[in-house]
Amino acid sequence: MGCDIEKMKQITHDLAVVAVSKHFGADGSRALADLISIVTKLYRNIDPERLKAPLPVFVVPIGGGDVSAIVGTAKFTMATDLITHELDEGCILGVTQGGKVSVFDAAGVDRELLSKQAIVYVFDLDKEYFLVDGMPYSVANPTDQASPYATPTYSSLTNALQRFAKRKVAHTSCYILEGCWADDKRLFLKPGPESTMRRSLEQYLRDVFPDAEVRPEQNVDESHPVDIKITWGDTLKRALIEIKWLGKSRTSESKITVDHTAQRARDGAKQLADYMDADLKAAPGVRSVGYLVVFDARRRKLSEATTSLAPVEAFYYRDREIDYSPDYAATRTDFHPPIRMFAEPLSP
Amino acid sequence: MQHNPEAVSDVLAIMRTNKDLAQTTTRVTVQRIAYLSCLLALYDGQPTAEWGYKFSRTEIGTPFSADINDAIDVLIRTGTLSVGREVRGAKELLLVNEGGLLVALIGGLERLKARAKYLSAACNGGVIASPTTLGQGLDNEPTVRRALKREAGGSLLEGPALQLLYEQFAAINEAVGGGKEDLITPSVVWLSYMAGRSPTHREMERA
Repeated sequence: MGCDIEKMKQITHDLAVVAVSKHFGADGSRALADLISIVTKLYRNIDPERLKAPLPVFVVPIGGGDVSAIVGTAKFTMATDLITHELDEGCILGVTQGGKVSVFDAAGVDRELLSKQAIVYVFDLDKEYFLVDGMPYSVANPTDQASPYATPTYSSLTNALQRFAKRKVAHTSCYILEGCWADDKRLFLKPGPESTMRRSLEQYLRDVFPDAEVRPEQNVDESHPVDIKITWGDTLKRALIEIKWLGKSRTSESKITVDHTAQRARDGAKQLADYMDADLKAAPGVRSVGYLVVFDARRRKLSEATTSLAPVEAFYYRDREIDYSPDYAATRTDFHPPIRMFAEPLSP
Repeated sequence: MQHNPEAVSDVLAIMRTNKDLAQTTTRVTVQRIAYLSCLLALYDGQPTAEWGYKFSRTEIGTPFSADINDAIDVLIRTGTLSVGREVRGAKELLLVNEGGLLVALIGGLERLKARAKYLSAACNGGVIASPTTLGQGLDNEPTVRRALKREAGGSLLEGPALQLLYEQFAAINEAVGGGKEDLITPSVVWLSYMAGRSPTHREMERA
């Protein structure tokens, strides 16, 4: 497979750094990194979701002009990590030479004009972008936070999986997972949704754990059930995630192809336990923990001809946990309690 | 045991630059930045054989350099680096002192001065692209992808897949234009291309 030139051109067209480089030269790119590092520091003390007013932050690259005619006189200057409530009222921040920030009154500041001589970052409710030479460039946000520069509020894999269940699976709030469903009401899955589910979870975990290696397993068969492997390079610690889905899959001709019940989850637990035994023998120096993730799309009284269900049937399994016997999580230290993620149908 | 001076110097440079950029740095980060630096040297027309240490696919990580890993260990043992809190599952590395004596001893070596621009560009590019895009982009580097498909480990930046990397670099050079003074911009473009990201990615996610 060769290089996709058109895709490359599109990316080049959309990226703020390219515009910065063209407008300000090599010093501009470095200034952009400095600007992002200042925003990162700000967000250690400030949750962008709680900002009451837009937050513009600017940096003048080396060789840039005097912007005092545009922003006026600074109200004060302080270290970035000390700024907290000072941002409650509308203001605009300027990055100083020493890495501090000067705080200016935002009223009357023409940001587009400012962006002719400075790189301007703006966080405005649900919009986040850079202004360069009068043009906006969106900030790509692959994370679950309001800004990719904000510090995530959770750190454990368990926490991340629970958040994935709540934020992405429960209401299918992920464009990747949307492709799993065979119908608009989310009663049936498409045949073979496993790879889509894996891709969605893999992408999410990559965003949550940028300092880890998150990879799909290359060998996926009955003897290698693990779907995703997470490795943290500094420790010999590893998470092995096995994904199982429950529910019914249906073709576009309305033929049910598979009906997975709770037994599939129990079978998956055994598979994973067996794999953990084999993995321990193969790599005794590595501490692996197995996670069984169950995408639960079960509905009650679902037949091939079903086009809608009463809520009591559609949501029947929402709060019904699966009993596992044997309970590997209770008897093994390398087996995490299975995590069930109920994917809700659309309310009729 | 002989320690690789390029690797030690590179780890120090990465830690110092990332500290200035307020970035959390872990072992994985250092390995990735070192690898990206090597790619930028390749982009700039330098042969990989002269980089000073190799990268491969291992069970501990990919890309992985044993020399970089050893350099981190020796800098921790000598008190230049320390291991901090756990961040997102990984232990943060901290620069305890600026490595003054070490920098004085090895920083003066001419062959080490030339690589500073690649390391700086990789650190800055990693910040602009984001840690997620850095990891995902490097995972899709052609020789990494080829190595990951194998059951056993393998060296990176060699073999037929390298040709595709050269093609990508040529395309970036044409798309970005200009000279090679600015290595940050091509690094971000390449990472974004390889990670498959675009600024409209967020618009594709439902609120």
